[in-house]
Amino acid sequence: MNINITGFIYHKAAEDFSDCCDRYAINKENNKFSIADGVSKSFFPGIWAELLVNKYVNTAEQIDLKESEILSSLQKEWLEKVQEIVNKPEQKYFVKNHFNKGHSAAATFVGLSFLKEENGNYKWKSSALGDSFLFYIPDSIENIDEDFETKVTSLSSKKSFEFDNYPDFFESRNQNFKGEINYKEGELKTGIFYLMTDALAEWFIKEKETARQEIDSWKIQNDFETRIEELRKTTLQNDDSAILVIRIEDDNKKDIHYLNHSISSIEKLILSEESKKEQTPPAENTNPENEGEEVSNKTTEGFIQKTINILTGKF
Amino acid sequence: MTNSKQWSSATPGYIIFLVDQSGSMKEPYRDGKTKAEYTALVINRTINELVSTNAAGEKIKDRVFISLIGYGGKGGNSVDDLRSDYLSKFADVPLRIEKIKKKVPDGAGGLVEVEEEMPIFLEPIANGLTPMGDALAFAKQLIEGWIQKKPDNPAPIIINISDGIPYNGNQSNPTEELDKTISTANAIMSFTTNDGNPLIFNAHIGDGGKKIELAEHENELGGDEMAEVLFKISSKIPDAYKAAAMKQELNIKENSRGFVSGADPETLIKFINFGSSGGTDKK
Repeated sequence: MNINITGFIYHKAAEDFSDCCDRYAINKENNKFSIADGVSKSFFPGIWAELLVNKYVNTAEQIDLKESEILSSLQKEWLEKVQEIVNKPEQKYFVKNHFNKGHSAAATFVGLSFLKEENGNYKWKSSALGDSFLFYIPDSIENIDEDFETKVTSLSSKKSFEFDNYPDFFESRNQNFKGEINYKEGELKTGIFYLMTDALAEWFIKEKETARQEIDSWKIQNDFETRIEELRKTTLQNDDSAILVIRIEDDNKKDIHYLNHSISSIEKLILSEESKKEQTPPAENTNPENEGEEVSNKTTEGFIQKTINILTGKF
Repeated sequence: MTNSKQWSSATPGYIIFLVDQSGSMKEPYRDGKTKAEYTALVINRTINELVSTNAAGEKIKDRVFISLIGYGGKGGNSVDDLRSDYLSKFADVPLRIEKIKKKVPDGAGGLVEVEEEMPIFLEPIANGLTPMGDALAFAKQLIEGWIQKKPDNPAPIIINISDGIPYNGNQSNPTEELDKTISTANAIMSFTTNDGNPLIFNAHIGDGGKKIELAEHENELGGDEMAEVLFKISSKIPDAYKAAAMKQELNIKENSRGFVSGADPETLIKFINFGSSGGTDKK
């Protein structure tokens, strides 16, 4: 079997890649793939999401992240990384406060593995916690608009396709995880696996065949960013968006061969963004404080108008 | 659903705190603090809470713009922009930091004492008269500017905290400021945005008067003159805010208006938290 992989990631509108808390990872040697969505209101969720996805794919044997030894070691690693940040000289009060109060990171997770069986065939195994999703569409399915739930294999820990702000998650401190992890497995056949974080998953479930064809058109990161910005005007929630697309094709051989993969790296995207900012000249000072100078300061009304000008200039 | 647009970096919300800094705010209130001190404490805590819920590690997301407008604070009928900025600027540069010790859960069923650095954004002041109408007029101009620049953003919110009836010292027309308060508030509440009308929520700090929480009708006010004024200028609580009210354990009903009267400290804290929730029961 031949496998092609594409992966794209984008931050929320009006934010940066450094703010993005979605992460994914692949390891072709281990035939493993994973995706995680850090809860943005938690404490250093990007670091936690990164630890989860990498631990899963870089461990050769099958693991379940909920096993206490594994989760404890990940929590320890998170704590060490965050402690280093908290202890930086002149660190801001709110970072220290959050750490001292025991704030933690939270993230959803989906993992997928391909395992070789004794007869030489492969099977797939997947686990999910939270509202990130795995979808699988076999090649035999031409259109998913009707009978979506029958034709499309899906996995998350959500009990329905209703999305809210309270997903299940793995936590980097205190309780180990919230919710129940769901599992699925099956025979590995030709078709496409999609691992997506919640905004894309919700859109995919809603738009079905239109979404499937849209995803098919995404070839490079720029395509993805452009289309996500367009889709956010209509059917897609404004949220961090990440997707791994794993295409399984028949080459009349049982063994797995990885052909092309085009996976955007969040680290490179962050560096590229920082580099562009350094090269961009600072914006002209449009502070209307200077405009206000023309307004008389001698009257109360003049003073108020100047103040209004200054304040609305800050908006 | 109106007033349901969530605050985000792309479409930040706008909260205006109108803070009564008239002379009567130096009267004692609770726990050895004056009304002005308690008001400052609650607002400082609220902004600190906003910093906390919008923090992503070392960075604060600018999901809300805040204006602190004081009235009476510089004496007479003064109205002052004490501070207006995006949340990250508030977080980065508080007026000062106070260090306090707090006990927090240690994760093993016990408590551990930790040091917390409390940012101070507003100092207590109690000085002049109560030009509430002028303060609302100032807020009205800010909201007009905001709506013009940010038509797709969540509708702005005003949270007004006061202990008395609007009064500007004009003895020949003693209700002048009161009339201005009501007409200006009504003008603000009739602005339209893509997210509905701006909201005005009012908290009357009590002097031991009857406690009134989120009333539906004027006949619940027991003839309290100050309560009637604030009731008239309080928005009906939109559906999108009801979950936040319930989370704060406020007595929310179908047609409740956003005001409390005779508020004790606990109610004041809950009410300000509810008003600054952005209309969502956010995790």
